Amino acid sequence: MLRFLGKRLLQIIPILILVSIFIFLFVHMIPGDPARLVAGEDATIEDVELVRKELGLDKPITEQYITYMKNLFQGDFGKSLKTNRDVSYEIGERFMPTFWLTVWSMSWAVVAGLIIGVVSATKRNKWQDYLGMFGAVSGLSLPSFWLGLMLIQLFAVTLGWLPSGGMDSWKSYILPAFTLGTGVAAVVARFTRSSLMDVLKEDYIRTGRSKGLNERRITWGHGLRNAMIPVVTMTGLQFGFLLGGSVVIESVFSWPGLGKLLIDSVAYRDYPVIQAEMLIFALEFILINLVVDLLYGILNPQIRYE
Amino acid sequence: MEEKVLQVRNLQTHFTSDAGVVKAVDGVSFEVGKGETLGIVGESGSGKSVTSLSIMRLLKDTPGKIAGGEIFYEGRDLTKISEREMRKIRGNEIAMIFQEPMTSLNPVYKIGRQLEESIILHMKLSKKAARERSIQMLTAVGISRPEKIVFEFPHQLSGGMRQRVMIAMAMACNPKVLIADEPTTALDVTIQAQILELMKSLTTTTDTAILLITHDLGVVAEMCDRVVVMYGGRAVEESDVVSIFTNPKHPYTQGLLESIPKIGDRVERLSSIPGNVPIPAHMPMGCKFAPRCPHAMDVCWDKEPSFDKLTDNHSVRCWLYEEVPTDEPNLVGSSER
Repeated sequence: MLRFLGKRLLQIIPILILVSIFIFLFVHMIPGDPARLVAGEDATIEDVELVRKELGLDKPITEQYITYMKNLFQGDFGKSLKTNRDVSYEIGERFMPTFWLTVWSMSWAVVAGLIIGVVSATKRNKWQDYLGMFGAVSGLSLPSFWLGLMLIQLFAVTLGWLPSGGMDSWKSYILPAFTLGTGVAAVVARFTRSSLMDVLKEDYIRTGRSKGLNERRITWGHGLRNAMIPVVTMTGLQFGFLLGGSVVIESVFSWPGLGKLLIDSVAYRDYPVIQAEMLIFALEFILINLVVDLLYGILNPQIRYE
Repeated sequence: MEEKVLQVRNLQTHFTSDAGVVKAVDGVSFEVGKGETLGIVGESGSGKSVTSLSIMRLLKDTPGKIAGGEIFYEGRDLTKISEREMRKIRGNEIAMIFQEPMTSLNPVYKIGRQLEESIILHMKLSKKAARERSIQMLTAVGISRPEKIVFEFPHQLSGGMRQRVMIAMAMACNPKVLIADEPTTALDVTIQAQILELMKSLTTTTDTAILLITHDLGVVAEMCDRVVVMYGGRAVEESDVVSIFTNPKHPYTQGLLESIPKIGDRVERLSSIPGNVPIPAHMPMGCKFAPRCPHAMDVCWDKEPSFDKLTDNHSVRCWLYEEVPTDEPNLVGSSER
């Protein structure tokens, strides 16, 4: 188990290096000139060249990459071109809002998705199932930005119950967390339904019934535990996506998170910030995959880590 | 006359499909006495498994439904009682073991927990007492180091071990009836005999009746006191086990017995019953076995014979032993035997 963990953690390093190369190349392929943006609209060509030299952008791309990596291994992500503050500071400030928004969105989405999925699976082809799956398909098909705008219109503008954006109190979380979680809840519900329906056909479910267990015990005790295995993978992936910061939703709700930071950085060609954010995004995904693999071992005793 | 624990009367279980209603079990009756072993024999598709699931009322996840008849257990009709009352009987009074030991245990729970579940539920024991009971049961089914096995998962056990665990589970609450649906079919031949021996010895001590569903006449000879032969959802012959082997009456039973290879006989080919079990949706009008019967007469195609007693403990459903209602019996095949 510990060896498995150590091996997996070591594997992260080469993956991240590979990812960093790709990110570096892609970021530098974005059209636009950061030197000009930093120097300002009416700077002379000489000024722009000066800025470029200062930022090290005049050097060949391989050299730029090596310098970047050297700094990175010392924990230095560089400075933001826009604010001239440390990138680690910029990201640190934005990470927690995104993290908490993700946690709240995922929490309600997973609970709601599981309940809807289980009810749909056990009341197959009855009205509960049709209602649940109607909800799930709607949740999947509604564009989240549209849903967010409609919610703002209703609860913030018309009723005035909740703030339309920003992050001032717990109330600010409700609309963005609901919007962000809707799609996840829908996916969880559909996965849980189909997975549980398969599991409920298994022989050991019949054994459970033949022992005299009631349906609640069969479904939640014997069925769901087995049905969770594919649901966990999918939920982990969704968690990773949300942690990266939902670009669209954070913009709709002016949420001071990573998603909004990414949009701003791309608009400003803020290379160091974009690179750092993408790298963290990749790292989050790798770590979540690791957690999912460990969860498998808990859910399925047939898995042995070697 | 000994006490009957289970009486099935004119049981009808129908499956509704797009093609229409399929009568998987069509008027089957039998009785099981206390401590008696009754075998239900037939090919795949004869309705024997559906019969056992009907008794346990485990048809929930199939399109099947009990359409008629009665199942009396200790004077109560199981087809009439509520699901709640039925749950008190399942695993407690009537227990069941299945054909597939490999998939019949939940892969994510330890053996101990799966055993204790029904013990706690039915015997109202504490966790600790239930653990003791399950270790006792595992010992009884011949599992060595049972106090270790309770902490193991099903995938760590072999098929034979798992079937032993299933038997331990079924017998844990001292049921009055044990339904065993092809309990040895999925096991190695050497293990088969052990499992049968185990079932026999365990049920003898508790005076538990066994309803043994099988297609294996060897198993029947080994285990059963009485035998019901099923074909096409109906009982075609019923008698004590000795008469079935020495004096089979129904041509289907005769065919089944002939298809067993005999030690010492040198034959080019094993004999078999020609044709297949009829698809339930396309049952013959008359006797269900007529299309495959070497003795089929005209009447067999038109009218189904009734299930009649030849002697006190030997009944058969065949025109060969009945007054043919038409004017002239028109024998097509020969009936010397």
